[in-house]
Amino acid sequence: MQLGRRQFLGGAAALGTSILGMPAILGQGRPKLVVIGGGAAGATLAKYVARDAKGAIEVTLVEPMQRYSTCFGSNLYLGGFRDYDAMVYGYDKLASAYGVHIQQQMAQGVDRDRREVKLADGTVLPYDRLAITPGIELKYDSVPGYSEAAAEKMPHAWKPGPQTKLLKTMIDAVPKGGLVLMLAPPNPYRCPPGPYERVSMMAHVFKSTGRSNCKIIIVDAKEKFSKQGVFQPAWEKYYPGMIEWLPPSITGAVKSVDAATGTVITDFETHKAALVNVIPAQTAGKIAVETGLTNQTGYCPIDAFTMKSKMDANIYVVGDACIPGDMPKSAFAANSQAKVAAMSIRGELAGAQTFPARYSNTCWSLIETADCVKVGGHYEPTPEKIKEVDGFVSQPTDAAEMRKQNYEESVGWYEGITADMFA
Amino acid sequence: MLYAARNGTPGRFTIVVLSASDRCGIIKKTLCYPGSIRSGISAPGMFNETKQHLRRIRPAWLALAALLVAGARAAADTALGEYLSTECVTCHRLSGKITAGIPPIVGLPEDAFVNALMAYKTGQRANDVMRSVAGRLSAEEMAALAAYFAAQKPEGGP
Repeated sequence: MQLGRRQFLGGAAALGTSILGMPAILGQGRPKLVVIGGGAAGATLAKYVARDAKGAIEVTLVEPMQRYSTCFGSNLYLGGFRDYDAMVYGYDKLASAYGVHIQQQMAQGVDRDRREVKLADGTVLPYDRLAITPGIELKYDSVPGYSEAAAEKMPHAWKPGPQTKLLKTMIDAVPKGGLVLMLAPPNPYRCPPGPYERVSMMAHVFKSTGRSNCKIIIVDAKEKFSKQGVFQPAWEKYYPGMIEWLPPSITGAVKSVDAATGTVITDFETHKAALVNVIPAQTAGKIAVETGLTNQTGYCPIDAFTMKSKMDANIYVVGDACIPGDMPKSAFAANSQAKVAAMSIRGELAGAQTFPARYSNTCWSLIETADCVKVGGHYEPTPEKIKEVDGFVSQPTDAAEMRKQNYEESVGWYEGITADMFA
Repeated sequence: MLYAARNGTPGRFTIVVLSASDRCGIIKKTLCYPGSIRSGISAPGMFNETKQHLRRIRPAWLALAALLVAGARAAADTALGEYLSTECVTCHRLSGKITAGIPPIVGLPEDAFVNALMAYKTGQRANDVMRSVAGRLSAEEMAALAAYFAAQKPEGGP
């Protein structure tokens, strides 16, 4: 019997030795994967490809920061539940245990036709597959009067590092009875429940340091927000009268901010605050935009079955920079997507066996000591998008014990995912 | 389909589960996923009650079936289990290290592993995350995961 092409391919793929599926390889040697960005998406992806390919694929991770501070978990630092130093990780193990080449500099640009990444020092990295995982870029000009310079007075702290520490210092310096303003961003943005967990942590700090008469106003760009049904009753329970949430239907748009005077002017009011935390609108990281991988939304459309860019079949976009369908922009989601991408890349470059993509996410938010809420779900690819197939969210009626378990679980998850990325 | 059954020794049985079935509940503590192989002491009347579900075959054929099932299972399950495990290890440390709030699963016996997942799937154990995880897993996938994690050894590392 003669085998048709399809049958032959099917048989070969099933054996995990799809010779015809091997891509054209640039030059000589092992196929090359370059990963730009070493966060939850990039670090996971680089590790999983390098570890599971067992040397069959050469993996290079391009990341300018020597030490990576996690953005996830940073609200707990603001609330005094976590040390900053316990949120900082290095790439040593990725290099020593899995053989990932670490390039600690900026990627300057990508030549898609030549399949090359140019680095800041002029080094050129050829690739067979490229993963772009830069996270988000802040759109400072989405808030009139706001800028990178203004962020030194009105921190965003939406990217980890000095901004996070600056915000912590400013929270600690708010006087008794002081006013705090948070400008919450429009969708889609990194960490949907993040602004509201952060407000909870601020309130916790004020309450536990004799400043219960401080006031926090959230000027939101949205009419509703993540886990609203559990956040708002909990705020009333723990921090009565302290937190006020103003959607645009009540306060209108933000007309301007003035960092020098701490002033925020909306359509209806002028606020002068001791601390203003501006979280501006966001877009995909710069390198994704410059490489031409974004669409009109500012983020990168991907194939939900593989995490490949819809703009270029040699490039994967994973994490906050992509359009993740029903998934949120979270570290958990980025880590989950990275595993799908890693499998697809190993299938393409090393003929490894592949399985249908599946994704998961959970986001935990701490509201007060031992009271943590969560939202999450499972997702599957469809031709249109990554689609939610099952979801859950904490309820206002949850028992206190369950909320406490949620917190312990979130601490365990943090330990787990950082080990999954870096260890 | 269940199963080949009853080995050559009087009073003892061996069962090979060839495909998932809700009938395996009739044999207590017997894992009920494809590829599962179990031996034990026959309970009185066990084979009478269950004869319509248990295919009795010669011991030699049974041994062969067990061998084939085990071999096929090892090949298929390893890759599937390894893939599925990537979801678990976001929270449960692959090193086996114990962290607050997340129980270790590395090295867990297969039956304990499947029983725990089944308890979440059927709602006997409460945890939204685990109910969602288990709710999506088929019996075959649970078995693959159980085999994968049972074969892992806790590391000395992080």
